[in-house]
Amino acid sequence: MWFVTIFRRKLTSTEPPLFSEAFLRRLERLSLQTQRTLRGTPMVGSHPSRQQMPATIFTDHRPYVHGDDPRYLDWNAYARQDHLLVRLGEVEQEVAVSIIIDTSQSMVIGEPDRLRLAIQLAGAIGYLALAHGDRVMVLAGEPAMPVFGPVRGKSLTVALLRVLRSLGPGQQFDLAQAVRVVAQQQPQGGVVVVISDLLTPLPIEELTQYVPAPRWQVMMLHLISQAEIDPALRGPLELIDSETGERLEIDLTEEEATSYRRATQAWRAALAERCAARGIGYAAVMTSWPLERQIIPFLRTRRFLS
Amino acid sequence: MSLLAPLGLFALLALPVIVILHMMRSRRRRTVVPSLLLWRQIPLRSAARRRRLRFTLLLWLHLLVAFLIGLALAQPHISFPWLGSNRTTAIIIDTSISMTLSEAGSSRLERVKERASALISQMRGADRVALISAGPVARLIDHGSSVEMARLLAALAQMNIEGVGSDFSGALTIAETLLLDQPNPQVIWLTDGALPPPNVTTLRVPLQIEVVGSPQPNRAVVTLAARSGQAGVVYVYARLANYGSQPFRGPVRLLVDGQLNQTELVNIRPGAVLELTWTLPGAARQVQLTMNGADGLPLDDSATVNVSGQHPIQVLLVADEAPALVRALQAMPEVTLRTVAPARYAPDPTVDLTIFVNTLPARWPAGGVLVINPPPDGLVPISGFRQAATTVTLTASGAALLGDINLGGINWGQIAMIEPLDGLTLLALSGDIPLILRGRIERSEIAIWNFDLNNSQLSGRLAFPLLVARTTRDLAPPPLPAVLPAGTPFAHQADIRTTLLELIDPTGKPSTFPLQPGLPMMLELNQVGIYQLREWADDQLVREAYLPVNAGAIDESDPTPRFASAVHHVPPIAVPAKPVDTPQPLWSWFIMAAITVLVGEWLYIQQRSQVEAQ
Repeated sequence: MWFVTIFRRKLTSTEPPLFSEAFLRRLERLSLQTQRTLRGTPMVGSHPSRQQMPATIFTDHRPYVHGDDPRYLDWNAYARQDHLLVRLGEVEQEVAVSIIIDTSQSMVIGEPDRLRLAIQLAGAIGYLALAHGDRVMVLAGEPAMPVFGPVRGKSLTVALLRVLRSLGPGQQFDLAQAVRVVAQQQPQGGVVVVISDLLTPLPIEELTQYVPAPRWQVMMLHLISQAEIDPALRGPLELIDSETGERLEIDLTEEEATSYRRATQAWRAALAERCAARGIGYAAVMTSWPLERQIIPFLRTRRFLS
Repeated sequence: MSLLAPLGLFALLALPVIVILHMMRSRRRRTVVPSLLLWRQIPLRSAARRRRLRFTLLLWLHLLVAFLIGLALAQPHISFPWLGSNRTTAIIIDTSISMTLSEAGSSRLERVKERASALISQMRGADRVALISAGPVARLIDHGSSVEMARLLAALAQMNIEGVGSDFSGALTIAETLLLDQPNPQVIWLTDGALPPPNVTTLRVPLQIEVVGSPQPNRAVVTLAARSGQAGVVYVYARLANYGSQPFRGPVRLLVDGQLNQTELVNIRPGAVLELTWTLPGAARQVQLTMNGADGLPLDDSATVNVSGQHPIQVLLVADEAPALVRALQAMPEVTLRTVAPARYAPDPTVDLTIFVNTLPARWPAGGVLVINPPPDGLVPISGFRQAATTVTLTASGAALLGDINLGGINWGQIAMIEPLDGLTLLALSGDIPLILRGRIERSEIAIWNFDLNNSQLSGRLAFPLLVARTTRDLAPPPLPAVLPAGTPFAHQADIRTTLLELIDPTGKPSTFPLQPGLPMMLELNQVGIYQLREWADDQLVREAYLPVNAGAIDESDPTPRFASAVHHVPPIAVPAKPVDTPQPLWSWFIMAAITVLVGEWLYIQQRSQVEAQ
C-alpha cells in the first residue's frame, strides 16, 4: 500500500568515496611481499629474485665465459687466483599480480558491504603492484574473466580504479574456474590474490594444481562480517541462501546460536589450517575493520605487505 | 450477563481452529543470509519440535478477535442493578386543533412534545413507553423500551395536529389495553384542557393529567352553511363565537366563489355567539367567511363551505320511444338528458347514467346503467316469460331503497323470467319472478327493471317518477359533503368508473390512490383549507371536486382550559412479581472491540513487515 511509507524517513546516501588520493600516496611506501621463488622479468620490477646476474655489488663469482661484459670481471680475484671470474649479484624483478574478486551475491549481504571492502582491497593491492612495476590483472564476474590487464605501469592506476568502481554483484562465484583462467593467462607464474568470503567450499586441490608453488604465490583474503560470526537472530526462522535461494527452517535458540558460533570458529580454523598446509597465505579480515588503520597493518603482520 | 442467542457461542469453535491453523501454517521470519554453508553444520531440531505452537502476539490477537465476535453473536446483555427500573408509561398527547394556539412564543403542541420528550429521555432499564395520539381518532403512534428511545423520540418529533376534537376516551382505551398486566403502569395525558372534563372513574390504571396553557381569547367561525334555494338564490348561515373577556368588534368578509361579496362589521360580546345569515342572489358553488380574530389560533378565523344542492347527472337514454320516462327524467332539475336510438348507440365515457329501454348493449358500459325490460339473448339471461303477479315483495335491500314507494296493485303484464346473475341482487319480486334487480358488475352500477313500460300500468302511477328519481340518484355518483371538520375520518365513495383518485391538499401537494370499483377510500384530511379531488378513469377525468376542511367548532374553538392538572389514583393491581430485567445490549461494544483489535493487528503486521524488510 502506497501510504504505508509516506511517513518513513527517507535515507540519504553518505557513503565515503571508495579511494582517496592521500591514502594511495601513503600506501605507495608499502609493497607486496613476494617470494623469491617467483619467476618474473628481471631488471624491471622491485621484487627480489633468486636469479643472479652480473652486477657491481656481487654476492658470488662464476667463471668468465665468452661474451660476458668485461666490466663485471673481478680483476682482484684474477690477480689472486689467476682465473677470470665474473662478479654475480642479485637482481630485482617484476611479478605478475592477479587479483580475483568474489562478486557473488553473498558479498553484498549484511552491513557493511563486503564487496565494497573487496574492491577497496583490490584497488590498494593493484595500485601497489602498478606502482612497483608489476603486471596487474583483475578477474571478476560470473564466470570470472579478466576485467583489467594484464598491464604494467603506474599511469594505469586511474583505469584500474575506474574498472573496480564499476564492479557489481553477480549471483555465484567459482574460485577454481577463476584460478584456471589466471593460470592460462600467466603461465610463468606470479602472485594470486583472492578476495572472497569463501562461503563456497574451498577447492584447495584445484588451487594447488593450477597455481602450484613455488612458481605461484597465493594470498587468500577472507572477508568476514560480524553478523556471520555472531548473528543477532533468534526464534523461528526461515533462512534463505542469497546465492542459491535454498531455504532452511530453523528454531534458533541460544543453544543453536552457540552451536553456530562454534561451527563458525571451526570453519575458520579449518580454512587457515588447510591453506597453511598448502602454502597458501591466509588472512581473515573483518569487514568492520577500518581499511587503513587496521586492515593494512594487519596485512603487514601477516606478511602480505612489506 | 445473559445471552439472547446462546447458539452464537458455537462461533467460539473458531478458537481451536485458529490454534490449529497457527500450528500448521505458522509463518517463520524470513531472513536472507549470505550462505547456508555454516547453518547446515549445526544440529537441527526434529520436525515435531519445529511445529510446536508458539504463542505469538498475532495468535493472541486472532484468538481475541474470534472470541469477541463469537460473544457478540450470542447477543449478550448485561443488567445494571443501579439502573433497575420497570415502569410502563402511556403518554397521551392531545393533537386537536386547539393545541396549535401559540402562547409565549411556542405552540401548546410544541410544549407538550417537549414534556413528552423529557419523559421518554428519563426511561431507564426495563421502562417502556407508549405514545398515543388523541386527535379526532385516537391511535397508537409507537411503543418501545429504553433501548428504543431514539425511535420513540423520532416518532414523537413526527407527531402533528390531526384535526378537530380529541378522542380521549379512545386514547384511554388504547392505553389501558397496553398497560394492563404491566408492572408499574401509568398514563400521562398531556393536553391543553380545551375540551369537556373526561370521565375517568372507571379507569383501572393511574392517570396523571398535565394541562398546559392558560385562558386565551379566541374568535372563531364555528359554523358556516350554505344551500341553494328557489329562483337560484343561495342562503348562507354563519355562527361567530367570541371566547374571551373582551368584546370583539371587527369586519367579517363573505367571499363567493373566491370573489369578495360582502363585508360586514360585527360586534360580539365576551363569551357570546353571533349568528349571521345572508341571501345571495345568483348561483354559487363555494362560500367563504373570514374574520380577523387577532388571536393565537388563526386557523378557525376562516371557514369555507360548498353550496349544497343537486349534483348534476348526465343521462343518456337509449330508446326508440319512452315518453313517460323522458317526462320523469326531465322533471329532475339535476338531470341533463340526451336520447339516442338503440341503433345509433355508442358508449360515452362522460355519461353518468345510461338507460336502455327494451334493448341491451354488447357489454356493460362503465358508470350507472338502468335496463328497462331487458330483451332475451342479451347480457341478461332470460329463461322465458310469464304473467306477473300484482303483488310486489321487497327484499331487505329493496326495502331500504324502495320502502316508501307504493308498487302494489300494478298490473305488470308479461315479464321475463330472469336467471340469477352474478353481482346482482333482488330488490323486488312479483311472485317469485325478479321484478327489480340492483348490483355492480365490474365498473358498472346496474339496475334492471324487469317490466315493459308500455304494457304495465306503472308509468301512469305516482310511484313512477319517484321510482325513476330514486333509481337515477342511486345509480349516479354520490355527491361530496359540503364541508368536513379537520381530521374527521372521511370514507370517500368515488364514481364507479374511477380507477385512480388524485388528492391535492391545501398546500398543493398531490397524492394518488388506486381505487377498487365500488370500495370507499378512507382519507385523512388533517389540514385546514380546500382539498381538490380528481377522479380518473384511466386517462379520462371523470370528476373534479373541491372539499373544504374547516377548523372551527363549538367545542374546539374555546382554548380556555376547563380542568386543571390532576392525578387520578387507582388501587394497585396485583401483577405477578417479575425480576427487574434491565438489559443493556453489549454486542455492539464487542464488535467495536474486535474492530479495534483488528486495527491493532494490522499495525503490528505492518511494523513487523518493515522490520523484516530491513
